[in-house]
Amino acid sequence: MAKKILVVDDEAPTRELLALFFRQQGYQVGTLSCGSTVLQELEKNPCDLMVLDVDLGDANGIDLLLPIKKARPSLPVIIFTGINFDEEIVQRARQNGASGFLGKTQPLDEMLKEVQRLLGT
Amino acid sequence: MSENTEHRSLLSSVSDTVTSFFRRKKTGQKIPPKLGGCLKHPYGPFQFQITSWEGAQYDLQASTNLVNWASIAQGVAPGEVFDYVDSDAHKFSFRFYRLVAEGLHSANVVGFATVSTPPGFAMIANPLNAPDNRVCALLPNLPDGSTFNKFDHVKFRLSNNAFKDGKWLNPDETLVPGEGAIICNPTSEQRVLTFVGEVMQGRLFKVIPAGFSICSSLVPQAGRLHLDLGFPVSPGDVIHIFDRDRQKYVIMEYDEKKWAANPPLIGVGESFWVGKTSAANWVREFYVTL
Repeated sequence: MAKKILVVDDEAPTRELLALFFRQQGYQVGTLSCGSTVLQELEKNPCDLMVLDVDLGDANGIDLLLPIKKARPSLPVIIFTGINFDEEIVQRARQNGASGFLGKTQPLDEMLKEVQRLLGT
Repeated sequence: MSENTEHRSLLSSVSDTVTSFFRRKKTGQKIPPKLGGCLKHPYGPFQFQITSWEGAQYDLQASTNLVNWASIAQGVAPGEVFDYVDSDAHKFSFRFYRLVAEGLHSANVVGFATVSTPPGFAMIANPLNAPDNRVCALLPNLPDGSTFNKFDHVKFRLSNNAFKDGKWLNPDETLVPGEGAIICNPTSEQRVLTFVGEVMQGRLFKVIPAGFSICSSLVPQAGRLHLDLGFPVSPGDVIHIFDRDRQKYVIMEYDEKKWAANPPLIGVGESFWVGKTSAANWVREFYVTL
Protein backbone atom coordinates (compact mmCIF):
# COMPACT_ATOMS: atom_id res chain seq x y z
CA MET A 1 0.00 0.00 0.00
CA ALA A 2 1.24 3.48 -0.87
CA LYS A 3 2.75 5.51 1.94
CA LYS A 4 0.88 8.67 2.83
CA ILE A 5 2.47 12.11 3.02
CA LEU A 6 0.76 15.11 4.56
CA VAL A 7 1.96 18.48 3.20
CA VAL A 8 1.14 21.41 5.46
CA ASP A 9 1.84 24.78 3.88
CA ASP A 10 -0.26 27.91 3.60
CA GLU A 11 1.52 28.87 0.36
CA ALA A 12 -0.19 27.21 -2.59
CA PRO A 13 2.80 27.09 -5.00
CA THR A 14 4.85 24.71 -2.90
CA ARG A 15 1.97 22.79 -1.35
CA GLU A 16 0.25 22.10 -4.64
CA LEU A 17 3.38 21.30 -6.62
CA LEU A 18 4.67 18.96 -3.94
CA ALA A 19 1.31 17.20 -3.78
CA LEU A 20 1.34 16.76 -7.55
CA PHE A 21 4.93 15.59 -7.53
CA PHE A 22 4.62 13.08 -4.69
CA ARG A 23 1.40 11.66 -6.18
CA GLN A 24 3.25 11.06 -9.43
CA GLN A 25 5.93 9.26 -7.45
CA GLY A 26 3.29 6.86 -6.19
CA TYR A 27 2.59 8.28 -2.75
CA GLN A 28 -0.81 9.14 -1.34
CA VAL A 29 -0.84 12.82 -0.50
CA GLY A 30 -2.97 14.94 1.78
CA THR A 31 -2.68 18.70 2.02
CA LEU A 32 -3.50 21.29 4.63
CA SER A 33 -3.22 25.04 4.22
CA CYS A 34 -3.27 25.95 7.90
CA GLY A 35 -1.70 24.74 11.11
CA SER A 36 -4.71 24.86 13.39
CA THR A 37 -6.22 21.62 12.09
CA VAL A 38 -3.03 19.54 11.86
CA LEU A 39 -3.66 17.52 15.02
CA GLN A 40 -7.28 16.73 14.10
CA GLU A 41 -6.18 15.72 10.62
CA LEU A 42 -3.52 13.41 12.05
CA GLU A 43 -6.12 11.72 14.21
CA LYS A 44 -8.65 11.37 11.36
CA ASN A 45 -6.23 10.49 8.58
CA PRO A 46 -2.94 9.14 9.88
CA CYS A 47 0.04 9.66 7.60
CA ASP A 48 3.51 8.14 7.31
CA LEU A 49 5.41 11.40 6.90
CA MET A 50 4.65 15.08 7.28
CA VAL A 51 6.14 18.04 5.43
CA LEU A 52 5.53 21.06 7.64
CA ASP A 53 6.12 24.70 6.74
CA VAL A 54 7.60 27.05 9.33
CA ASP A 55 5.58 30.17 8.57
CA LEU A 56 1.99 29.01 8.49
CA GLY A 57 -0.52 31.82 8.47
CA ASP A 58 -2.14 30.83 11.75
CA ALA A 59 0.69 28.97 13.48
CA ASN A 60 4.40 28.42 13.64
CA GLY A 61 5.53 25.04 12.34
CA ILE A 62 8.38 24.76 14.83
CA ASP A 63 5.99 25.28 17.74
CA LEU A 64 3.53 22.80 16.22
CA LEU A 65 6.21 20.13 16.21
CA LEU A 66 5.91 19.56 19.95
CA PRO A 67 2.23 18.55 20.05
CA ILE A 68 2.64 16.61 16.80
CA LYS A 69 5.53 14.58 18.15
CA LYS A 70 3.67 14.09 21.42
CA ALA A 71 0.69 12.64 19.56
CA ARG A 72 2.76 10.65 17.04
CA PRO A 73 6.34 10.22 18.39
CA SER A 74 7.51 8.03 15.50
CA LEU A 75 6.14 10.22 12.71
CA PRO A 76 8.95 11.66 10.60
CA VAL A 77 8.42 15.39 10.11
CA ILE A 78 10.35 17.39 7.54
CA ILE A 79 10.48 21.08 8.24
CA PHE A 80 10.04 23.24 5.21
CA THR A 81 11.87 26.52 5.21
CA GLY A 82 11.16 29.41 2.89
CA ILE A 83 13.49 32.03 1.62
CA ASN A 84 14.40 33.25 5.10
CA PHE A 85 16.26 30.11 6.15
CA ASP A 86 18.44 30.49 9.24
CA GLU A 87 20.44 28.27 11.53
CA GLU A 88 18.44 29.18 14.61
CA ILE A 89 15.28 27.79 13.04
CA VAL A 90 17.08 24.55 12.22
CA GLN A 91 18.35 24.20 15.80
CA ARG A 92 14.93 24.80 17.33
CA ALA A 93 13.31 22.41 14.89
CA ARG A 94 15.84 19.72 15.74
CA GLN A 95 15.21 20.23 19.45
CA ASN A 96 11.47 19.89 18.86
CA GLY A 97 11.87 16.61 16.99
CA ALA A 98 12.21 17.44 13.26
CA SER A 99 13.62 14.59 11.20
CA GLY A 100 14.80 16.61 8.23
CA PHE A 101 14.89 19.96 6.51
CA LEU A 102 13.99 21.12 3.06
CA GLY A 103 14.17 24.51 1.41
CA LYS A 104 11.34 25.64 -0.82
CA THR A 105 13.85 26.44 -3.55
CA GLN A 106 15.46 23.01 -3.56
CA PRO A 107 15.06 20.81 -6.65
CA LEU A 108 12.21 18.33 -6.50
CA ASP A 109 14.48 15.31 -6.75
CA GLU A 110 16.31 16.40 -3.59
CA MET A 111 12.98 16.60 -1.82
CA LEU A 112 12.17 13.11 -3.05
CA LYS A 113 15.49 11.76 -1.79
CA GLU A 114 14.81 13.15 1.68
CA VAL A 115 11.33 11.63 1.72
CA GLN A 116 12.64 8.28 0.49
CA ARG A 117 15.38 8.32 3.11
CA LEU A 118 12.92 8.88 5.93
CA LEU A 119 10.32 6.43 4.65
CA GLY A 120 12.84 3.78 3.65
CA THR A 121 11.20 3.54 0.21
CA MET B 1 -15.65 18.86 -62.72
CA SER B 2 -18.63 17.30 -60.94
CA GLU B 3 -21.92 19.10 -60.58
CA ASN B 4 -21.35 19.53 -56.83
CA THR B 5 -17.88 20.94 -57.33
CA GLU B 6 -19.19 23.34 -59.97
CA HIS B 7 -21.96 24.38 -57.61
CA ARG B 8 -19.49 24.99 -54.77
CA SER B 9 -17.16 26.84 -57.11
CA LEU B 10 -19.98 29.12 -58.29
CA LEU B 11 -21.05 29.85 -54.69
CA SER B 12 -17.46 30.53 -53.71
CA SER B 13 -17.05 32.89 -56.64
CA VAL B 14 -20.25 34.78 -55.73
CA SER B 15 -19.14 34.93 -52.10
CA ASP B 16 -15.71 36.30 -53.09
CA THR B 17 -17.30 38.95 -55.26
CA VAL B 18 -19.60 40.05 -52.43
CA THR B 19 -16.68 40.11 -49.96
CA SER B 20 -14.63 42.08 -52.46
CA PHE B 21 -17.47 44.56 -52.93
CA PHE B 22 -17.79 45.20 -49.22
CA ARG B 23 -14.02 45.16 -48.65
CA ARG B 24 -13.37 47.78 -51.30
CA LYS B 25 -16.37 49.66 -52.48
CA LYS B 26 -19.22 49.98 -50.05
CA THR B 27 -17.76 52.87 -48.10
CA GLY B 28 -15.32 53.89 -50.76
CA GLN B 29 -12.55 52.93 -48.41
CA LYS B 30 -10.46 49.82 -48.24
CA ILE B 31 -10.86 47.61 -45.21
CA PRO B 32 -7.67 46.61 -43.39
CA PRO B 33 -6.35 43.20 -44.38
CA LYS B 34 -6.89 40.33 -41.97
CA LEU B 35 -4.61 37.42 -41.08
CA GLY B 36 -5.80 34.02 -39.91
CA GLY B 37 -5.84 30.30 -40.53
CA CYS B 38 -2.53 29.79 -38.72
CA LEU B 39 -0.77 26.47 -38.96
CA LYS B 40 2.68 25.50 -37.73
CA HIS B 41 3.91 22.51 -39.64
CA PRO B 42 5.74 19.85 -37.64
CA TYR B 43 8.72 20.14 -39.99
CA GLY B 44 9.13 23.86 -39.29
CA PRO B 45 7.31 26.26 -41.64
CA PHE B 46 4.51 28.53 -40.41
CA GLN B 47 1.57 29.08 -42.71
CA PHE B 48 -1.27 31.56 -42.52
CA GLN B 49 -3.96 33.09 -44.67
CA ILE B 50 -4.08 36.72 -45.77
CA THR B 51 -7.35 38.36 -46.69
CA SER B 52 -7.00 41.70 -48.48
CA TRP B 53 -8.12 42.63 -51.99
CA GLU B 54 -6.93 41.39 -55.32
CA GLY B 55 -4.04 43.41 -56.67
CA ALA B 56 -3.17 44.95 -53.30
CA GLN B 57 0.48 45.88 -53.03
CA TYR B 58 1.53 44.45 -49.72
CA ASP B 59 4.48 44.42 -47.39
CA LEU B 60 4.54 41.49 -44.98
CA GLN B 61 6.46 42.20 -41.79
CA ALA B 62 7.73 39.95 -39.02
CA SER B 63 8.92 40.54 -35.47
CA THR B 64 10.11 38.54 -32.50
CA ASN B 65 9.42 41.23 -29.89
CA LEU B 66 6.40 43.08 -31.32
CA VAL B 67 8.44 46.28 -31.26
CA ASN B 68 10.90 45.98 -34.13
CA TRP B 69 9.47 44.84 -37.44
CA ALA B 70 11.29 43.73 -40.57
CA SER B 71 9.88 43.31 -44.04
CA ILE B 72 10.02 39.65 -45.08
CA ALA B 73 8.00 39.68 -48.28
CA GLN B 74 6.57 42.21 -50.69
CA GLY B 75 4.28 41.63 -53.61
CA VAL B 76 0.90 42.00 -55.18
CA ALA B 77 -2.03 40.03 -53.75
CA PRO B 78 -2.92 37.35 -56.29
CA GLY B 79 -6.48 37.19 -54.96
CA GLU B 80 -8.58 38.35 -52.06
CA VAL B 81 -7.47 35.38 -50.01
CA PHE B 82 -4.05 33.82 -50.31
CA ASP B 83 -1.68 31.79 -48.18
CA TYR B 84 1.78 32.71 -47.03
CA VAL B 85 4.30 30.16 -45.84
CA ASP B 86 7.28 31.32 -43.79
CA SER B 87 9.90 28.68 -44.46
CA ASP B 88 12.33 30.46 -42.10
CA ALA B 89 10.00 29.93 -39.14
CA HIS B 90 12.05 27.00 -37.85
CA LYS B 91 14.82 29.45 -37.00
CA PHE B 92 12.68 31.13 -34.33
CA SER B 93 11.11 30.09 -31.05
CA PHE B 94 8.41 32.67 -31.65
CA ARG B 95 7.63 35.02 -34.49
CA PHE B 96 4.78 37.39 -35.21
CA TYR B 97 3.43 38.74 -38.51
CA ARG B 98 1.54 41.78 -39.71
CA LEU B 99 0.77 43.08 -43.16
CA VAL B 100 0.71 46.56 -44.62
CA ALA B 101 -1.27 46.86 -47.85
CA GLU B 102 -1.14 50.23 -49.58
CA GLY B 103 -0.64 52.01 -46.28
CA LEU B 104 -3.25 50.01 -44.39
CA HIS B 105 -2.05 47.85 -41.50
CA SER B 106 -3.66 44.48 -41.04
CA ALA B 107 -6.42 44.48 -38.45
CA ASN B 108 -4.56 41.84 -36.47
CA VAL B 109 -1.20 40.24 -35.83
CA VAL B 110 -0.73 36.49 -35.89
CA GLY B 111 2.14 34.25 -34.98
CA PHE B 112 3.46 31.18 -33.30
CA ALA B 113 5.33 30.47 -30.10
CA THR B 114 7.10 27.29 -29.13
CA VAL B 115 7.56 26.37 -25.50
CA SER B 116 10.02 23.69 -24.61
CA THR B 117 9.23 21.40 -21.71
CA PRO B 118 12.01 19.28 -20.26
CA PRO B 119 11.23 16.04 -18.40
CA GLY B 120 9.22 16.88 -15.29
CA PHE B 121 7.25 20.02 -14.54
CA ALA B 122 7.00 23.34 -16.33
CA MET B 123 4.77 26.35 -15.84
CA ILE B 124 3.32 27.23 -19.22
CA ALA B 125 1.03 29.82 -20.75
CA ASN B 126 -0.83 30.16 -24.01
CA PRO B 127 0.62 33.40 -25.37
CA LEU B 128 -1.69 33.69 -28.41
CA ASN B 129 -5.44 33.77 -28.73
CA ALA B 130 -6.30 30.71 -30.81
CA PRO B 131 -9.66 30.11 -32.52
CA ASP B 132 -10.11 27.27 -30.02
CA ASN B 133 -8.37 27.61 -26.67
CA ARG B 134 -9.42 24.23 -25.28
CA VAL B 135 -6.61 21.85 -24.34
CA CYS B 136 -7.84 19.30 -26.89
CA ALA B 137 -7.19 21.86 -29.63
CA LEU B 138 -4.10 23.57 -28.19
CA LEU B 139 -2.27 20.43 -27.09
CA PRO B 140 -3.78 17.60 -29.09
CA ASN B 141 -0.83 15.24 -28.96
CA LEU B 142 1.01 14.85 -25.70
CA PRO B 143 2.72 11.75 -24.38
CA ASP B 144 0.45 9.49 -22.36
CA GLY B 145 0.66 10.34 -18.67
CA SER B 146 1.12 14.09 -19.24
CA THR B 147 -0.72 16.17 -16.65
CA PHE B 148 -2.14 19.67 -16.90
CA ASN B 149 -3.13 21.57 -13.78
CA LYS B 150 -4.57 25.04 -13.39
CA PHE B 151 -5.02 26.63 -9.98
CA ASP B 152 -8.49 27.41 -8.73
CA HIS B 153 -7.90 30.34 -6.41
CA VAL B 154 -11.41 30.02 -4.99
CA LYS B 155 -11.19 26.32 -4.10
CA PHE B 156 -7.52 26.91 -3.35
CA ARG B 157 -6.29 23.82 -5.16
CA LEU B 158 -5.12 22.60 -8.55
CA SER B 159 -7.54 21.26 -11.11
CA ASN B 160 -6.90 17.75 -12.33
CA ASN B 161 -6.47 17.02 -16.01
CA ALA B 162 -4.32 14.47 -17.80
CA PHE B 163 -3.65 13.00 -21.21
CA LYS B 164 -4.38 9.27 -21.13
CA ASP B 165 -4.92 6.71 -23.88
CA GLY B 166 -4.54 9.37 -26.54
CA LYS B 167 -7.08 11.83 -25.14
CA TRP B 168 -7.66 14.41 -22.45
CA LEU B 169 -9.66 13.52 -19.33
CA ASN B 170 -11.19 16.99 -19.55
CA PRO B 171 -10.82 18.02 -23.20
CA ASP B 172 -12.88 21.20 -22.75
CA GLU B 173 -10.62 22.78 -20.16
CA THR B 174 -9.28 26.02 -21.60
CA LEU B 175 -6.02 27.90 -21.41
CA VAL B 176 -6.45 31.49 -22.57
CA PRO B 177 -3.80 34.21 -22.70
CA GLY B 178 -3.20 35.58 -19.21
CA GLU B 179 -3.76 32.22 -17.54
CA GLY B 180 -1.18 29.62 -16.64
CA ALA B 181 -0.86 25.96 -15.86
CA ILE B 182 1.57 23.43 -14.50
CA ILE B 183 2.28 20.76 -17.07
CA CYS B 184 4.21 17.57 -16.56
CA ASN B 185 6.20 15.90 -19.28
CA PRO B 186 6.42 12.28 -18.14
CA THR B 187 9.03 11.27 -20.69
CA SER B 188 12.79 11.47 -20.38
CA GLU B 189 13.05 13.74 -23.40
CA GLN B 190 12.58 17.44 -24.02
CA ARG B 191 9.28 18.16 -25.75
CA VAL B 192 8.15 21.26 -27.59
CA LEU B 193 4.64 22.69 -27.35
CA THR B 194 3.54 24.97 -30.19
CA PHE B 195 0.93 27.68 -29.86
CA VAL B 196 -0.50 29.60 -32.82
CA GLY B 197 -3.04 32.38 -33.02
CA GLU B 198 -3.59 36.09 -32.70
CA VAL B 199 -1.67 38.57 -30.59
CA MET B 200 -4.02 40.20 -28.10
CA GLN B 201 -4.27 43.95 -28.64
CA GLY B 202 -6.13 46.91 -27.23
CA ARG B 203 -6.72 47.84 -23.64
CA LEU B 204 -5.92 44.50 -22.06
CA PHE B 205 -7.11 43.83 -18.57
CA LYS B 206 -6.54 40.98 -16.14
CA VAL B 207 -7.70 40.84 -12.53
CA ILE B 208 -5.06 39.47 -10.19
CA PRO B 209 -6.84 38.29 -7.04
CA ALA B 210 -5.47 38.64 -3.55
CA GLY B 211 -3.66 35.50 -2.42
CA PHE B 212 -2.03 33.01 -4.74
CA SER B 213 -2.84 32.48 -8.39
CA ILE B 214 -1.08 31.42 -11.57
CA CYS B 215 -0.93 33.99 -14.33
CA SER B 216 0.93 35.03 -17.44
CA SER B 217 1.35 38.00 -19.71
CA LEU B 218 -1.58 38.78 -21.99
CA VAL B 219 0.93 39.81 -24.63
CA PRO B 220 3.52 37.39 -26.03
CA GLN B 221 6.54 39.35 -24.94
CA ALA B 222 9.45 38.35 -22.76
CA GLY B 223 10.94 40.69 -20.22
CA ARG B 224 11.14 42.08 -16.74
CA LEU B 225 7.85 41.37 -15.06
CA HIS B 226 7.11 44.79 -13.60
CA LEU B 227 9.14 47.08 -15.88
CA ASP B 228 8.63 45.59 -19.34
CA LEU B 229 5.39 43.67 -18.88
CA GLY B 230 3.73 46.21 -16.59
CA PHE B 231 2.79 43.76 -13.84
CA PRO B 232 1.21 45.62 -10.89
CA VAL B 233 3.48 44.76 -8.01
CA SER B 234 3.27 46.07 -4.46
CA PRO B 235 5.17 45.54 -1.21
CA GLY B 236 4.58 42.09 0.26
CA ASP B 237 3.89 40.45 -3.14
CA VAL B 238 5.78 37.24 -3.84
CA ILE B 239 6.53 35.72 -7.24
CA HIS B 240 7.34 32.03 -7.68
CA ILE B 241 8.98 31.24 -11.00
CA PHE B 242 9.57 27.58 -11.74
CA ASP B 243 13.01 26.85 -13.13
CA ARG B 244 12.05 24.03 -15.49
CA ASP B 245 15.63 22.98 -16.16
CA ARG B 246 16.56 22.63 -12.50
CA GLN B 247 13.03 21.58 -11.43
CA LYS B 248 12.89 24.06 -8.58
CA TYR B 249 11.30 27.32 -7.61
CA VAL B 250 12.94 30.70 -7.68
CA ILE B 251 11.09 32.78 -5.12
CA MET B 252 11.23 36.57 -5.36
CA GLU B 253 9.58 38.76 -2.76
CA TYR B 254 9.03 42.29 -4.01
CA ASP B 255 11.72 44.69 -2.94
CA GLU B 256 12.17 47.78 -5.05
CA LYS B 257 15.95 47.83 -4.77
CA LYS B 258 16.48 44.09 -5.20
CA TRP B 259 14.11 43.95 -8.16
CA ALA B 260 15.84 46.92 -9.79
CA ALA B 261 19.08 44.93 -9.85
CA ASN B 262 17.66 41.46 -10.26
CA PRO B 263 14.07 41.56 -11.53
CA PRO B 264 11.91 38.49 -12.26
CA LEU B 265 12.27 37.65 -15.95
CA ILE B 266 9.35 35.99 -17.70
CA GLY B 267 9.62 34.22 -21.04
CA VAL B 268 7.05 33.93 -23.81
CA GLY B 269 4.72 31.05 -23.01
CA GLU B 270 5.76 31.00 -19.36
CA SER B 271 3.43 31.40 -16.40
CA PHE B 272 4.25 32.05 -12.77
CA TRP B 273 2.70 32.05 -9.34
CA VAL B 274 1.91 35.36 -7.75
CA GLY B 275 1.02 35.87 -4.12
CA LYS B 276 -0.69 39.27 -3.96
CA THR B 277 -1.28 41.05 -0.70
CA SER B 278 -4.29 42.75 -2.29
CA ALA B 279 -6.14 42.35 -5.57
CA ALA B 280 -4.98 44.43 -8.50
CA ASN B 281 -5.60 44.89 -12.20
CA TRP B 282 -2.90 44.09 -14.71
CA VAL B 283 -3.62 46.59 -17.46
CA ARG B 284 -1.76 47.02 -20.71
CA GLU B 285 -2.48 49.35 -23.58
CA PHE B 286 -1.02 47.33 -26.39
CA TYR B 287 -1.27 48.09 -30.08
CA VAL B 288 1.00 47.01 -32.89
CA THR B 289 -1.18 47.49 -35.94
CA LEU B 290 -1.95 51.20 -35.79
